[in-house]
Amino acid sequence: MTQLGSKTLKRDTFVTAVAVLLLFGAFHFGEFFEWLYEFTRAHEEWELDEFILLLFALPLPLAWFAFSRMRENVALYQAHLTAERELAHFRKVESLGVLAGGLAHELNNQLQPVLSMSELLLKRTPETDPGHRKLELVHDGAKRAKDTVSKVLVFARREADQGKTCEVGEVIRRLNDLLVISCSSKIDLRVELGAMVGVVPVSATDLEGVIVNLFNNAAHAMEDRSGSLVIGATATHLDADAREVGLVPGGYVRIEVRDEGKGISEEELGRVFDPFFTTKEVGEGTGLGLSQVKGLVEKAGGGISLDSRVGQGTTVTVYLPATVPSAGASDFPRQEDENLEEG
Amino acid sequence: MSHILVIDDDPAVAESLKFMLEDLGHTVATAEDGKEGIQALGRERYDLVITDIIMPEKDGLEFLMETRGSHPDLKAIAISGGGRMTSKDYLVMADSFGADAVLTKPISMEELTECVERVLGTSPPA
Repeated sequence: MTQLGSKTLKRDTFVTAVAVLLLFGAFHFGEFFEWLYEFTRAHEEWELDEFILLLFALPLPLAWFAFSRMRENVALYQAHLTAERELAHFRKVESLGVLAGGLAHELNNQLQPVLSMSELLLKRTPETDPGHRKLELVHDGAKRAKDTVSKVLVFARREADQGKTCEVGEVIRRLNDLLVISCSSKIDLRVELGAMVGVVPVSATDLEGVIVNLFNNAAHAMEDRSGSLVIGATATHLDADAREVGLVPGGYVRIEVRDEGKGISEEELGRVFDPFFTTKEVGEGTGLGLSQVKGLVEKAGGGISLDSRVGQGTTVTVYLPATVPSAGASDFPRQEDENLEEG
Repeated sequence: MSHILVIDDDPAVAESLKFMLEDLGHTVATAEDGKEGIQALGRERYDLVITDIIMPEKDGLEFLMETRGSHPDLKAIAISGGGRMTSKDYLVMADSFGADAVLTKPISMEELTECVERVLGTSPPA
């Protein structure tokens, strides 16, 4: 279908260009105008003026028709292209989801004896026994593996806690200490929150996951650099610009994570939301981060966009629909300090 | 204490659950799939059956469907390793097939204790 659209577009453009060139050639090189003038003067009794005027005016509607058709074809071509890209993306995500789901099922089965038997043995082994700590390590490792599998399942199921809400400002404030500790001393971390940001239809745990994921990516991009990393959130209203991020006009909470890291190349930019795509070294990242974030955000009716310049930094903007007007009630008590800044 | 039948095609999972349940004071027998589970029910009386959902030969849902008719008083807990379906999906499915509860593997001692006590009605008063 895309190839067909592309061919029609090329053909229409070619026909229009050839028609214009032929008309120009006929008038300019063929001296058609002079010939026509002499012909009409020689046959004045035929009263050809109106006919010639009509003949001259005819290319205008024809040109308009050709131009309109070309525009329609361009729109059609782009729509097909977008639909095909979305379908390809959906199929890829779908097949990866099946793969991840199957893998998680197997791992959960394999983890059962490790987790439960270490727990059982741990219960029976006194803390003074040298084996106690060793068993504790096995058990903790199995619990961490269980958490990892459940994270993979979030991607496989596109599962988010439904019906839960949280106040964005409160979640970011709670995370603040953790983010400061995780930040390299070279990075100037700033948290900028508007007065009472807003309540969004995402559980606090999921939103924490989103923020931590975006923060980790930003911090990783600034690994060997110094500069500022800003996490901001504010209530906003999107009108016509909502469609640019694939949303409907309305009230949103905008969360922005801005870094001065190495940036993302144009080539990589189109793939950053793909599952398992990562710019990190092998073993450092699974690439599930941004695809998970996108899944969670879209599941909640929001959108995400990414703007990056190589060598200058990246800004990731997340829009989540505000379920309660910004100044309204919240799940969390309002804090006095509306503006937090951490170095 | 109760007599419990554990059905799972993964012997390591079945044995782990057996040890956990024995630690809670129950007596436990194991079966490899739904077909073997049905045979075990014909031989002995069990208070509770803990069955995996995805199994070869006869899966957990088939097993539940069959036993709901033949053993209406038998309590059942369905277990699964998850996968693409959510535990809620399994809960709905297992519930419609007659399970009293559903658990997602890997199951901790705490989860198992709570679930078994609740299904058997032996939970200490809150």
